[in-house]
Amino acid sequence: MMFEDRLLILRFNRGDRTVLHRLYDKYKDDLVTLAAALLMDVSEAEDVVHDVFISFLGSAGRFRLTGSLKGYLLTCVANRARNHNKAARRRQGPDLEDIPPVPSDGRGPDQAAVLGERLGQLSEALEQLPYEQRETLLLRTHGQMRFAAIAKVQGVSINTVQGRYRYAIKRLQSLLDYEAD
Amino acid sequence: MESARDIDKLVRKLQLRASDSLSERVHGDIEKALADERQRTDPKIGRRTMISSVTKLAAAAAVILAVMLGLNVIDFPSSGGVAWARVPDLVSQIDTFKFSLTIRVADDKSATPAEQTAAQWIFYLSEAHGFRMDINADGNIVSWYVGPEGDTLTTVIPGEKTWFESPIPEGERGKMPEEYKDPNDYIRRFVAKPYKELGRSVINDVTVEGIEVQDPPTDGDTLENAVGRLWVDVETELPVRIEIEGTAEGKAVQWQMDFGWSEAVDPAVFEPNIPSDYTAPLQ
Repeated sequence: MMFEDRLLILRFNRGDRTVLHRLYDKYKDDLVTLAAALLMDVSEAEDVVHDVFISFLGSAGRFRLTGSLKGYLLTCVANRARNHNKAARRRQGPDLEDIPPVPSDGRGPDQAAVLGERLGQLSEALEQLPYEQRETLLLRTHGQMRFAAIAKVQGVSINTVQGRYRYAIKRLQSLLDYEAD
Repeated sequence: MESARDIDKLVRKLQLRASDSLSERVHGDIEKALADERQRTDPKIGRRTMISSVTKLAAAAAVILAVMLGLNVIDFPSSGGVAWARVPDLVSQIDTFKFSLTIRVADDKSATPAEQTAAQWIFYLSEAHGFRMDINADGNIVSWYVGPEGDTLTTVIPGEKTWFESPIPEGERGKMPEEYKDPNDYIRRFVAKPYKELGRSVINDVTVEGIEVQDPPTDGDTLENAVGRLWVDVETELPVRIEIEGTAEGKAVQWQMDFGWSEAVDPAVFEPNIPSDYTAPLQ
């Protein structure tokens, strides 16, 4: 609920750190999904999400949140995931494709199985994308962020972001088509 | 080959669940930090701070709502007499408002929606007095009151002559009930649609200026041939009413959202004023 987000932001900006419980419960799945899809490693993804909230603990009342709360949290996760990726030090843990994705549209078991298989193919295809393209695609589709906001996160132009998105879609079309055959 | 839209949809379906161990870690670390903080805080000071912040929270919620209404309104141009640029300054001074949503459904195709009221929700929010919500479903009214401290919920059911109080857990204070329809979000989506200007009219003796949109947002409810109208007070430059009309399953449906600002809201509405013959069976 958007209004609830505004109240949570307000409380957080006034130094009320109890709202972090609610923030976490509300967005944990979205954040873990983004981090896992970026890092292709669930354990590392959960560490990233944990670190984001721990960093919040010390910052309540010291800076002001504005705009979309979900967008802000996704940006924090994306930034931390990028740092992990740059370090290129993956710890041991289950890969994304080893964890069955949860179909999010309430389909029946048979459809869910088909969907699950397709999502498994998607996970493998995502791993083959260059990191920047993967990040752009996920922030755009999963995070529903505008290209301008993604450009700000990545420190590049909007044109570059739009190009990365197009290349990512095109590459996934090719990969998924190939895997379907 | 899958279309770009198919790919987009597929990526959106990718959804993992945070593990229980992660949730335990995060909640545990948050709770530990809060416990450490509580140990360092003088309880008396903490209590005063909480009351103050909750009071300000209610106020700020109203101001945020009002400011957002203003910012949204200012986004669309008008050839009429409303000076949209002044709206944010005006609404920023508002600390109290009333918002009601009435949904009417006609009995059959020949009846008008106004002949039957299906349900009504009325919300009041005030910096000084707190929050109140009335729900009226087919004449059965339930009223919720939360004072400016935000720590107690008082429920009054006039039809049963009963009332009861319950404490609000600290983590729940400041949240709006599920039934609350977010008017600022709604208006933002409403004015984002192409519109035509309606000129001036009068609502409850108030001169208003309006716009009309086709297919207005209905928050998941299916309305066919829906038309929406937003009316703004030409003097105060604040929203007065939104009307939506359409059909659902062959029946005429009408939504009406009314707004009241500052002095239009009587402070007495925030007081439960429980009659002496009401009982409190659960206490």
